[in-house]
Amino acid sequence: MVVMFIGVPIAFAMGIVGFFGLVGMIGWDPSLAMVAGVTMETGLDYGLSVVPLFILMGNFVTHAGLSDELYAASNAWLGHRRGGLAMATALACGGFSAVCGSSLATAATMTKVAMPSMRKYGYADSLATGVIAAGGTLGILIPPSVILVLYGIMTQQDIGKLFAAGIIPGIIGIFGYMATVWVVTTINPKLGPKAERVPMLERFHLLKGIWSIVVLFVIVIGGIYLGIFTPTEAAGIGASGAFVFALGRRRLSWLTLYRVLVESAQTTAMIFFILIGAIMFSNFVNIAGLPDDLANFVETLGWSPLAVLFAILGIYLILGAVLESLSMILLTIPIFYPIVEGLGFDLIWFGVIVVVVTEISLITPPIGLNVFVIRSVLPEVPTGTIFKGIIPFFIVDVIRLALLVFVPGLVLLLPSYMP
Amino acid sequence: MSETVENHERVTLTRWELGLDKALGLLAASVLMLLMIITFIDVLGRYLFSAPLPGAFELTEIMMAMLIFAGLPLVSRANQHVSVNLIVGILSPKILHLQRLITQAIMAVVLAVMAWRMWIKAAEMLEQGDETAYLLLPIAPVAFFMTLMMAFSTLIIAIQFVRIYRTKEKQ
Amino acid sequence: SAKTTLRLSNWIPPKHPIAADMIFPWAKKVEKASNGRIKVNILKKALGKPPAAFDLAKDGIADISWGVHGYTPGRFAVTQLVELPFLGDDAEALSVAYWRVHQKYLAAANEHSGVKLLGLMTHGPGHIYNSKRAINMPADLEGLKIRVGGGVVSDVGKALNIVTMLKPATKSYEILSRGVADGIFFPKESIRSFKLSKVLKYATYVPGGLYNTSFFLVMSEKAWNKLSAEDQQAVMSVSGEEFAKLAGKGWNKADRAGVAAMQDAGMSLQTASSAMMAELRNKLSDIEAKVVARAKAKGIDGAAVLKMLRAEAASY
Ligand code: NA
Ligand code: NA
Repeated sequence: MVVMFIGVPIAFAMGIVGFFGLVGMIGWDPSLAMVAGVTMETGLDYGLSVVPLFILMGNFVTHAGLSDELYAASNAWLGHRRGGLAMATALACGGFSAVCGSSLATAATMTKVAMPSMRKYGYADSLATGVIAAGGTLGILIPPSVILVLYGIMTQQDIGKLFAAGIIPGIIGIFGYMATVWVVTTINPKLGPKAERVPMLERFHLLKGIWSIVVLFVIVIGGIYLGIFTPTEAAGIGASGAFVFALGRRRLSWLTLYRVLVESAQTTAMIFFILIGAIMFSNFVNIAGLPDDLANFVETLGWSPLAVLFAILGIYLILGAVLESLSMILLTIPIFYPIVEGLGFDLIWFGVIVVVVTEISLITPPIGLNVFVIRSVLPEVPTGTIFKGIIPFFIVDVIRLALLVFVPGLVLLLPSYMP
Repeated sequence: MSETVENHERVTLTRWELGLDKALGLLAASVLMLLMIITFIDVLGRYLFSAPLPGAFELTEIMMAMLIFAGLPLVSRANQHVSVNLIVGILSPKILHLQRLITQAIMAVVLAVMAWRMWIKAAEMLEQGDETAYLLLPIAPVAFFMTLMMAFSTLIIAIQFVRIYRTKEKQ
Repeated sequence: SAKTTLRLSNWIPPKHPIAADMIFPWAKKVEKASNGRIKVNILKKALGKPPAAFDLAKDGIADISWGVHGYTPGRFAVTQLVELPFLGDDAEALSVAYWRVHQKYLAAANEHSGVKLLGLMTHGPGHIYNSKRAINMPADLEGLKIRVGGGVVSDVGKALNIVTMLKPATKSYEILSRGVADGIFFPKESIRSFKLSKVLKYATYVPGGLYNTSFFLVMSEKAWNKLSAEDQQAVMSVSGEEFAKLAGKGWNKADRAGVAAMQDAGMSLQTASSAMMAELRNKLSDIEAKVVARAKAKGIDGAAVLKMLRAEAASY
């Protein structure tokens, strides 16, 4: 942990901790051999090819400008209400999440798309950035989701089922955020004034603009859900589809294509490096028998499974404040999932719960990556303003988390119908 | 998904660095594009013509390795590894400088160790004749490529270390 | 004397027959044979992916590891001799015969160098399954996409001129339920342990097996050398041929459970006719020659090995 906090990249920190832990357990030579073994098998893993392909799909979608139409359509239907543009932002974030597997990309894209019009109509920066930060977190919950893919790989759960499990909680998230905007602007109407009403005919006309997103979602997620494609194949199809849309809209010069590809490759390399570090760490945890020790410890406490779960969620909320989402999941899952499974909880359900907690971590200070992303697009908005705007959305997130914990059916309904 | 807290360095890159960036960027970009196309053809071929692409499985594996490890030096060069900058913000410039030196040194050592072990592994694979199951492609060259890329990354981090060290001297 | 704990890396779920009826009981036997001086610690999670199983022991990362020779293509050649078609219907007889021919012939090829070889086994005979149509002749397979593992079964697929897909066994359910593959070559046992009876409709049993798979159980040399002579003897007293017997019995039992599961699911089950067998023998004859040649390159008389293997298995 110390290595991590002095600013050593997390991939390296986890790898170092895992490595020296292993040296203590099995000696130098085997530990050094494991470095190469883990690197080799993580590098040459067919199952992991789903990761770069979903990243690529998200980056193509971003460059295709599909978000513009999405936001325009949401605005046309909601903008004239009080706080309507912010509600439209939450809705558009949800829609964008359905084709993009990353929360940060969703937040960054929606900042560029939604901020100008909210500013134009005099929305408070706090509400405007707050709803983007919160709405952006849906990127990892509503499928496709890179985080759910990695969770599935670490816990050997069906990625298709995990994706299906994220849909209803994601929709609850969208409506929760819209309701929050309604409450906030009812209390203080000045935060989100009404925009002009768009005529009905034009509203329907604008709906047509989102067909490409609907097509991509139906093919990719529908294909996985109905059992037509494996997730890896769906990612390949999705990336190809997004490429065609970007091409068709003339948004791809050779240079942009090159940049999209290189950016996706870099993100992939970075994630895999964290993964290699995490596997070293997880092998150490495994050989040291940590999950067993922890399970025994939990048993001596004599707590009910639900109490243990709440303790784990508490740990996540604390870790989530200071850790980046991907590393948090890769660091904790190897330790926690055997315990959670041992307590009789469903691992698909737990995956979604973990993602919802991670969503919260993306918007909590001091390390809230979505906030950083918004700041990188809008350097003039103070971090404090964004965090202030987030507070009501944070409260709603916690309520949603509790709802999903106590009503697991909301998570498990859709996966239960899968082949 | 660029979950990175970027840390831009205003440094002039040498020609070979720019060249390396461009070459690896092109390689990574082509491999990723190819990965997408191969997956697409494999699925399409299977549904339309009942003929999946033979060996697509192992081609995908090899391309994954090339993609990731061609991307690694680029990530190292752009300083894109995710780190927790929790205490970094409150440090004095002098300690911050030291912190950055230590971080770079640790990263260089880790990458060097990885490159060294990968080299040994690659040599083993060559000797054992490891190959892919269907197309019978030898795997050792892929392992050597991974070794080379990790060596490049080590070098890049080492150069960054020297640069950071020099910025101090200039002050 | 002091107590030794050995780390065993296992990559298959604990309920799978290989774990439940072979590896775990063997570990218990080791503990018993050593009068409790040796404890086998079966790790919750494997220390590497299935293809890394051999290297885990070779590099001393795990003390004990088991795996499939075919998962690292190019490395093992003589073990492919026991993967050939038509070797036998009884996993116990074939596994014991395998150990005996290994001791007499195969050990000379030194393919397990760097580890202490504790045991070898084969599963029950491999058969033909699919979700589309009954397979009465090899030609019925044409146009079907069949999932196969690595090794000789890949050659079988090529020789039968079918579209084979090489995917890990653990992905079988995913690819069959999603129509990525139409069928699979598997032992009877796997239909049950990978829960495939719901997604498959037709089975054609091939007497003697369409193919087989060779498995190893190995210990790191470092861990082995650390054991006292007495403990080494204790380990070997339940390994080698004894392990082959134990594992073979486990495979046979699992095969019977597999048939029961297929019957319960209402799959259409049949045995290849003599006409189909004749054609299969004809089409697959080249493979034997190919594998024998590969063994020869490593200095092993493959024909003699096969002769002894068949004789030992038949007389067991
Ligand atoms: Na998403
Ligand atoms: Na946070």
